[in-house]
Amino acid sequence: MSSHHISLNRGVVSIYVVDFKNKPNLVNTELVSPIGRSVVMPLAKKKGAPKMSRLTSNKRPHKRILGLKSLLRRQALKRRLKNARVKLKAEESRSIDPNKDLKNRSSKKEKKSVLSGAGNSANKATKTFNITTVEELYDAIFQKGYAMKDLIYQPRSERKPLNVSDEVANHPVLSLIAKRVREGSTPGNRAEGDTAKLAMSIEGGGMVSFQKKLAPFKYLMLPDLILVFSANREEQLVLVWRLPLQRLDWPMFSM
Amino acid sequence: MAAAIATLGLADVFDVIYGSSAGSIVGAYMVSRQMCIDVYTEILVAAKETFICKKRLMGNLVYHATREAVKRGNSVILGISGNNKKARSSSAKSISYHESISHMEIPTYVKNCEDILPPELTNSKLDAKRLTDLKSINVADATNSNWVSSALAAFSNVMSPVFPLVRGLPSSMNNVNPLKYVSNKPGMNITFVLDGIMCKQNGLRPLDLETFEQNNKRQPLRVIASGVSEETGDMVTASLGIHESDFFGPNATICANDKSRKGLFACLAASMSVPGATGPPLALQRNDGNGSRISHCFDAFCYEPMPYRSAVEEDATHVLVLRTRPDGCAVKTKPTLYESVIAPFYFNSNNMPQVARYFERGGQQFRYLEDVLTLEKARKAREPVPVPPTKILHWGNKLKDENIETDPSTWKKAHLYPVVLPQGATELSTVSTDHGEVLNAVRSGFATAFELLAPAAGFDLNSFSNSVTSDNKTVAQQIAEMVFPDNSPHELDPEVVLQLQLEVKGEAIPEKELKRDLKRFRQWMQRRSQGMSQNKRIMKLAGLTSGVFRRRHQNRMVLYGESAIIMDLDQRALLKHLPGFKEGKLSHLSKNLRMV
Repeated sequence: MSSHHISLNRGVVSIYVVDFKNKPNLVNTELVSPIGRSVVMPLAKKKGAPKMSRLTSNKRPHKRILGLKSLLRRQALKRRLKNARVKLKAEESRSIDPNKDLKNRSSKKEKKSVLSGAGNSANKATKTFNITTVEELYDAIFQKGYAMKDLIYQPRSERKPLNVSDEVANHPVLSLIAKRVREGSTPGNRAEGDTAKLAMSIEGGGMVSFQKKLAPFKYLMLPDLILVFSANREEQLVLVWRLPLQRLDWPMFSM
Repeated sequence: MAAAIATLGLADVFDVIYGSSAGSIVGAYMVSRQMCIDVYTEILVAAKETFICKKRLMGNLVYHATREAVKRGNSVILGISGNNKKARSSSAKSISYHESISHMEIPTYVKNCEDILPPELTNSKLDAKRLTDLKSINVADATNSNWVSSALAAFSNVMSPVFPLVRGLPSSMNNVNPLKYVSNKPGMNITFVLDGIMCKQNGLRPLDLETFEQNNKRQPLRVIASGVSEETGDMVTASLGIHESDFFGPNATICANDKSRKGLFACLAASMSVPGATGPPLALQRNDGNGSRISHCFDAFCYEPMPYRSAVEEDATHVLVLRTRPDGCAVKTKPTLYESVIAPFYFNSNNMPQVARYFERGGQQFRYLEDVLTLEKARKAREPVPVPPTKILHWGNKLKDENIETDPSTWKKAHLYPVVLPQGATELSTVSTDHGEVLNAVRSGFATAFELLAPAAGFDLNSFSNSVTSDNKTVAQQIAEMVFPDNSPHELDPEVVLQLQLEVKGEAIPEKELKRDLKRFRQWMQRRSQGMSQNKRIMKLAGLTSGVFRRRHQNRMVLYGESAIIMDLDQRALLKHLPGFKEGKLSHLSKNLRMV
């Protein structure tokens, strides 16, 4: 776990951002842009206990100050590089000759494109699994042990329009409906020989609308971050607050 | 879709009806043969923020975050005062904190917000007795009021830089009072639906309970809810209505959180309790014949968004599944904000860590994707397909129980058919904000189901295809527009809609279905398909009519255009011949046709 301190130029609020290892989407957080004037400096790595003088001192060397966005980007890149190196090692140990060797990449841009998955199908294949049928889903989850987040489901883009008459004639559910209409039977009073049990199942709609309603939350709730604030005119840290939005069993970021 | 089934007179072909979440409301109205679709198209639209509100959703979440933080005060809030090194030791943290904040001024808005803050947080309501009663708050001395108020003051400072990031809120930090966004009211108000709309005494569209009870014996309703068993802690899908005493009777299901809600309404409330939006899970006390058991229930979408699994477990051989989302919609496999933040927070704070883990590991997404793919497979299949059980098989990358059979060949099999909006159809973005969006969604669902099921009901719409109008609308789409016409601004006025109490009488299920008079309907369709063009018919009509009638039609042409007359003819024919409207049935739906 690495930690950063963000100090707003307004002088009344300080924010601490804790970046967890397995959350690579930190760069995309919406928090970044509105506090463009903020300054960032790393805190002590162990125990997260920086000295108060470092937090409040006005004599901080400005050479080391970076923008939050660039720092986070740099860290994300480092993390990806590290992951890629581990994977590369694993591939080499399995005596698979990778198409592209990251170590031989000269430019940063090239490395980035490789790490993002573009043009490296071998690397991608080890990470994700494309799903088109329910059998493939079971195979991926139950047999191959993929996690849900590693699956990719893309519905087919073109589908044949239904021939309704054929469907009614051939599909057992619609055929049963048509048969019961012809017979004029009602529940509890079915025709002789009609032993089928026909159910209607109605999906709810709350979740779809709720997810849409939650869209604004991405601006407010900051996944993968813990915010710690202080408030005092003397720029002294008087209160540390953790918003327990994610995992309440996380260890407290003590100072 | 359910309205199309009702207007085609197909409600009696089903033996049992299953509803998840809002689907259970539709199912209840269907069993009673009331089909109050205007609940969606008019009432919830007019209710707007009374039903669902973005600000309340956010405020409620912040409220619970605050409350949880205060409950866990020892581990969450620390006090550090300048150069005071004692502050850094955990043993002395609260003392040092009180010392350090003693000089801190509490903002006025913190003092004046008793009505919107959690009761244990408001300064004036704090007293030592109440605080000691709250087990989770480990504060007992007289300084607690300072402690909590200052925590709130700090919390307001916390939120100040964040709130301007929310769209629609003031951009200036100085003008924001974040506490006004904190609310303990749920973002989605299901009480409004159950008490304000469905309630027999005061509801705007009261459910005909007598007819429902009578019909429920022949065509039972199953209300599906997700839950956690209090005895075992297992995640279970509750099929409410399976026991006789679930909906009615002296031992009917009762909601332990709110004892005033009993029976059917308690079950409906449980099925619609969206985690994070409608308040805590409902503790349902059910009597299954062997004593009462308590399950903590919440929205059905968590375990069974499309309730066909429960149907097959209860020996259904054929299932027609009415889906909400269009064909080919994007089904997410990566955790979203809801799976990674909101749901885990909600379930952890309600002592259900197993459900929190289920969401975090993508269990709910797995179930939804499994449903979509299973139904897709079943639509093409002519043989029964294996249907996954209601038990939770997958927790992301781990199976919950190794003994559970994951081999599909051992599962029950059934014929499934999904009724789903065509690919590319627009998904409804919100429930309540835009009347046009809701109306279009209802029309699309109606048209899709009507087109698919009309041949099964004996109407061959293929012979009718020549009469597609110039704006490329199919027959089913035209009929949908007739049944659900555009409302005038006066009809959408919230004061009018929310005051109008309309009691729709239910219909008992007949012993034998009435004979369908399809002959005249077929003749009408043939006339339309083989007849003259629309313009010729209008001219003919204008030439033949005279006197008052001619002037009336001419005026209508001037006022509404040529299509108004055609619509008038079609509506009369529909009223006469659609089986769902016969003999005054579904009069509230057909009123739209009569009014033109």
